[in-house]
Amino acid sequence: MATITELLEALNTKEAAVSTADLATDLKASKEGTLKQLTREKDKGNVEGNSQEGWLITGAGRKALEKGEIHPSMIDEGVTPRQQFEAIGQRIGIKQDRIVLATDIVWSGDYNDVAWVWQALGQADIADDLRSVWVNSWRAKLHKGIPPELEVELTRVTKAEAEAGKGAAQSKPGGREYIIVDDEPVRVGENLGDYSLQDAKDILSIRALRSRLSGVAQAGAGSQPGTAEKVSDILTALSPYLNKEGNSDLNMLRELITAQMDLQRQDILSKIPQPGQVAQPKPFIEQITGFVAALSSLKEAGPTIRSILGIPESSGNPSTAFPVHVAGPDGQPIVMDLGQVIDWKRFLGEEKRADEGHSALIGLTQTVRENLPDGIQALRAAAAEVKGGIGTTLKDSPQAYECGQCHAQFTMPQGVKTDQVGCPKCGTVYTKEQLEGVP
Amino acid sequence: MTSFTQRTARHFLTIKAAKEIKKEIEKAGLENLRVLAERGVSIIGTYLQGCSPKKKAEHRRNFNFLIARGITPEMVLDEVARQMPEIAPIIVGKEGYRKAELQKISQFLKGA
Repeated sequence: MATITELLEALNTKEAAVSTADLATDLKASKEGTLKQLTREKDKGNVEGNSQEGWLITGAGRKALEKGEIHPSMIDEGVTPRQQFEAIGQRIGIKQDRIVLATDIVWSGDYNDVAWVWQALGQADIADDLRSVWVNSWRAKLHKGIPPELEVELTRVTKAEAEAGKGAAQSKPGGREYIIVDDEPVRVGENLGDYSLQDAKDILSIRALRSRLSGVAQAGAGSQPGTAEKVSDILTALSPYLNKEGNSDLNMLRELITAQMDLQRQDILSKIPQPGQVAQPKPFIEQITGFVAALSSLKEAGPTIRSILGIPESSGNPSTAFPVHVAGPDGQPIVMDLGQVIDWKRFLGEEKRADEGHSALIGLTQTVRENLPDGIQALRAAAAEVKGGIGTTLKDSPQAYECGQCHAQFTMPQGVKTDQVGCPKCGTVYTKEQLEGVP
Repeated sequence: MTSFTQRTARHFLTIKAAKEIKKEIEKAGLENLRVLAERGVSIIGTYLQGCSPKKKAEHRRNFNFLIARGITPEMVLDEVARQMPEIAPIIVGKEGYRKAELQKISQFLKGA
């Protein structure tokens, strides 16, 4: 809610009449509060107008604003004791006419007297539950304590109950008022039960936890965690209870340990072979099958298990990439990866095959080249053909002979009728018979 | 206007090409070539006709390489005649025969 000065200053800046809603928006206040302030100022003569026609500041209002004589009263601010008393009644939910009636009765006496306020509200026929709330709230506003004569009415606790409460509070450390029936704490009277209320709740929590753990153990016998792990879990969960002191905690701890011992006993008994069952040694084939199954499960486990076990990642065939531990010459263990050796051997084999294939290809190419027609041969053939044809040339060409001494090639001279011919290189003379005998 | 470097490179390329042809001529035999020339049989045509397709492609590539650098077949033949004076009467001596041989080369380079 804005102050009266702010309200008048806002109106002073407006040339024309302004509505209540616009003025409330400018002042960032509620419309109802602003209307109430405007109505009061209209009564004082500082503003004129109404909600329909709008509001304007009067000359008196401008003078008061210039003089600075605008002092908000308690009524303006809505903080009078009566207004506060009525506000409490509204918050409680009492009807407006009843609030006015009750307030009038209260204000007929000393409204600072809590006992009188209680009595006046009773005269206004306010219900006891609402009356106690109203009086307690008003008492808190006045910063006053509960009068002794109204202690029962305002606290709604009888004297006997208060004494019983004190007694219970005193007997709390050793008080055993509750027993446990069907997983529910039942009060049987002071010192007639086995546990206090808190202890009974704790024990019920422990039982619920124990039943849950035993249910898990029976459901998944194959995948259950180790006994030590279960004990650790239980102790961690029950650490707040175990750290407590007192006689009831001893009972609780005893019950807890008994339950845990039962669980362990069941575990141990389940692992001991029965007398009728004789463990037969597995045949070799079953052992191999089990080993292969373990390997396949390890393979399926993925990189997480491999990283945990320290098995290196294989780039080749994963089934061969399994480390083999052998002893070296010095007796120290050597980790050998057979997968890498196999890959290396495979690489060497492929290289050898590629080399042999290349050599065969080169030889084939050479053969093809030798058999392909050559330009030089074409020239020779053409020249021979020009000279007289290939067949004629071969037929008429002189017979070539090789010298037995110097291995030089020579021919029989054409057109010369002689029975002897000499080697042009070493001069060895051969007869015609000798030459024809040794072509 | 060509630079000195380009002219030098062209000169050495011509010499190298003529040397390669000289090797082939020596393989074929000078006497055979003379016989063919006297009878008017095209030496270059006969040679290229007898080559394998691979060899033909290689020769075509080499000739085009030379032409791209400004080395004509005439320049190469002149260089061959310079390196082998005994073949000069065959190639250079007969003007009509020389022109026909150059036409064979141009036809070969055109893919005929």
